[in-house]
Amino acid sequence: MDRIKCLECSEQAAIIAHNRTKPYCTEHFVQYFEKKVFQTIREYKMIRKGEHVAVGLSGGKDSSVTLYLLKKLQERLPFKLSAIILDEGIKGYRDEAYKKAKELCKKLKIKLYYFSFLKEYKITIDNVSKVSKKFGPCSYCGVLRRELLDKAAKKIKADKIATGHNLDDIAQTIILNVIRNEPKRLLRISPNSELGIQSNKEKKFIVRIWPLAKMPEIEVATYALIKNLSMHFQDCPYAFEAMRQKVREMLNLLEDSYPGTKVRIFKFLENLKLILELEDKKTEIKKCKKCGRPAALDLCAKCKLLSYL
Amino acid sequence: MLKVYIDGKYKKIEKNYKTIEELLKELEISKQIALVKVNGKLTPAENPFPKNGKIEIIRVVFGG
Repeated sequence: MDRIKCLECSEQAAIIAHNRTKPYCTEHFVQYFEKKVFQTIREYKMIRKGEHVAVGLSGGKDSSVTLYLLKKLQERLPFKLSAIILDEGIKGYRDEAYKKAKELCKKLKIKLYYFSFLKEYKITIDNVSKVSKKFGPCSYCGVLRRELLDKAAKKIKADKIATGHNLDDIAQTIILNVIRNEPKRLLRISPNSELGIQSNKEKKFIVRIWPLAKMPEIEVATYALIKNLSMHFQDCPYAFEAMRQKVREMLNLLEDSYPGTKVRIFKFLENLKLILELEDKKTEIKKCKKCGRPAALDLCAKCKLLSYL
Repeated sequence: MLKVYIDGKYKKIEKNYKTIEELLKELEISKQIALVKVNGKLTPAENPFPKNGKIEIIRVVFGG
């Protein structure tokens, strides 16, 4: 049995990309990966000339690759680039990630801004995991992280937030919203929040973009390894408590047996939106009665969650 | 002699496999979260199982 060769040259393949149909050596994989990410950015009109984009940087592979590629994109498109790191207060995890994030920003000469849950909300996820009875730590982390990232981006006058959400994340989110019977949330999923159903036309929330939306997690990891990016190779200690982890395992099993499963889930949602031809119904955005920030209901998700502690 | 490392830790493997993918299946590690290096070079899991040298399996972490 011969070793698999690169599709583009006679070198040995390092990875089989694109639903495990295209074997590439490291050099041609990097070309394929970068081309696909830049195409996604164009397809979803993610960045305009002169905008200020802040990358939500965790120190992990996805956000590190996002930052690295947006830095590369600056060679062709002039825009401002910053990075924001959020400290959720998870001991032994975020401290290490922050070190990696700082190293990467220093290497790429990008300004890094630091915000913490402790300073903004007077809580840490470690504490929440001990006291919260109704919701798990991941629920708090997800909601507070989104809100703080929004707040941080406004503070540094960023026009958009780029995060490292990859194809695996999006496929998992689609399935999670189906399981939880959340059709409205499902339809809001979009690699550019400016373009989604119930889009952000009123600019009450900072626009979010996902440059890695079409890239499987394994390809992002491969790119990060090849490029020797500062990466944090450690699972969040709370990650395994979430339903998302179960969905992740299920999707990986399916992908092993039926390559292209995750892409088809993503495309299913894109096609569903087209078929339904829903009008961009604007949810009336109110103000949270407690903190005054934009909210769909009387209390924003953050104030509602904090009220349970 | 073949040495297999999983997440940096040495694991004794006495069985012979046709492909690296077969080893991953036995270890219950999905191809979707495993980077494989043979003698320091990235390699697809579908490649033939080497008879000697070093195999490293790096599990991709969730999030970030």
